[in-house]
Amino acid sequence: MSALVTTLIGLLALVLETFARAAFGLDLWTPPLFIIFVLWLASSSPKSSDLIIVSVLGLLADGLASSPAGAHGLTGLVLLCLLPLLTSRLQLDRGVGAAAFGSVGALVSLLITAVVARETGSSGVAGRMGALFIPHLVTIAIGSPLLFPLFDRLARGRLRTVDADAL
Amino acid sequence: MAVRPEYIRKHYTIGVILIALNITLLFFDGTGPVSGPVSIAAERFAAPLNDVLGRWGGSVAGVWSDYVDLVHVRDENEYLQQENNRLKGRIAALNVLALENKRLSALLEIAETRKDLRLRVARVVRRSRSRQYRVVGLELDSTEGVEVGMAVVAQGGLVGQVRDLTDGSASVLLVTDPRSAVDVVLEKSRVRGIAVGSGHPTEYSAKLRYLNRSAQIVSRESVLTTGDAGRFPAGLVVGSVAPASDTQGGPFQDASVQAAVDFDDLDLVYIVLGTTGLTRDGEAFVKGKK
Repeated sequence: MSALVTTLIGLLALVLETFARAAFGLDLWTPPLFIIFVLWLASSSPKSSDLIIVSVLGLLADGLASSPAGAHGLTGLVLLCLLPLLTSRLQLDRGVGAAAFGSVGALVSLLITAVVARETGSSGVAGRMGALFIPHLVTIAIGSPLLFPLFDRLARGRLRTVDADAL
Repeated sequence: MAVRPEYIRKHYTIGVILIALNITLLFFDGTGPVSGPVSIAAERFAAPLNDVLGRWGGSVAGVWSDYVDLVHVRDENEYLQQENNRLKGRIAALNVLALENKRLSALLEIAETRKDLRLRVARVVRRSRSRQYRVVGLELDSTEGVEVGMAVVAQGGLVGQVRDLTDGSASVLLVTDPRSAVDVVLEKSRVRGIAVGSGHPTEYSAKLRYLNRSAQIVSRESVLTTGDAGRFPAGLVVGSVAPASDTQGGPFQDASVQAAVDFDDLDLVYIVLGTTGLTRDGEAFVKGKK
């Protein structure tokens, strides 16, 4: 799969996330489609170009969400670097495996968001962490097994491999 | 899982560099009270896309909001329709009550203005289907005190007289029945005559017979009972003289009388049981009656 296709899928995720925020009047929380996109990349042997794509799209996500520059990128990059270590242990083709993968990703992303919010003094985000925990976790856990096949179909050539040799 | 050294070299090295870059961005650009230049630039870059998506999302939100409103309007419409039907029923019931109240008030007015009469309320429960003979049936709790020939009055004036009695009911011969004859006097011209029911098939009226030809009858003047022979109390309104009075040859003239009582709307009536010995206003006793 080309970097362009990956970028377009990431853009689609960002567009849908921003659209959902406006359409449903979600001020406090939006469906974390960008995180699910990153998890999808992490689930299928990410390439170096994916890291750059996530970094750039993260900056765009920061602009769209008016969050501090680097917040989304940092979360995405950490997920993309850490979570491939899990792919050989989970059967991501199955819904439960993808949900478990998404849950771990959700927890990691929440942890990073909490650290970033604390360090950057985003008291609003830090104060909402408790309330965001369950919806964030549930949405990603449910959204991952649903959206991974969709992203796969969009990417067409990109096949999820659990071959550790790729690492 | 074994992580190969070449992957660490190629993949994680870039990852660490990018993570470090983002951390740097965060702590040098996003920690201050005011957004840093990179954050501002990112926001400006994303602004057009944000605007477009915000507008689209707003449109969808508007459509959804309109749909929800429409659903509410439909529910509200059904509720209001039910409420409307309920209120219509309530209004109809209230109208019946108002009509009943009006009739009772009218009856009470008769009782108030004719304190010289002993009256008993009765309800009209049936009407004669004959086009010529005019009889109505009254419902009575008991016929005690009621006799054949007693006058029956209602709002407006004289209705007729009790024709016969059965258990719990009475028949009343209306003044418009051709078999009815009532001694009357015209209110202004004081001409005497007899009001005989016309038996007209389509209207409630009577004929004034045996009026003195030399008398000047005033159009629309009231026709009152004389009280002669004691059958009908004096002063009950029978009707009014119709404008186009019919005259015939001979020593007498005839005229038509339009009945004062609305017989079509007859519901509650009084049977005149007798006199109380009081004057009409009830202020004093009639001489010799004390």
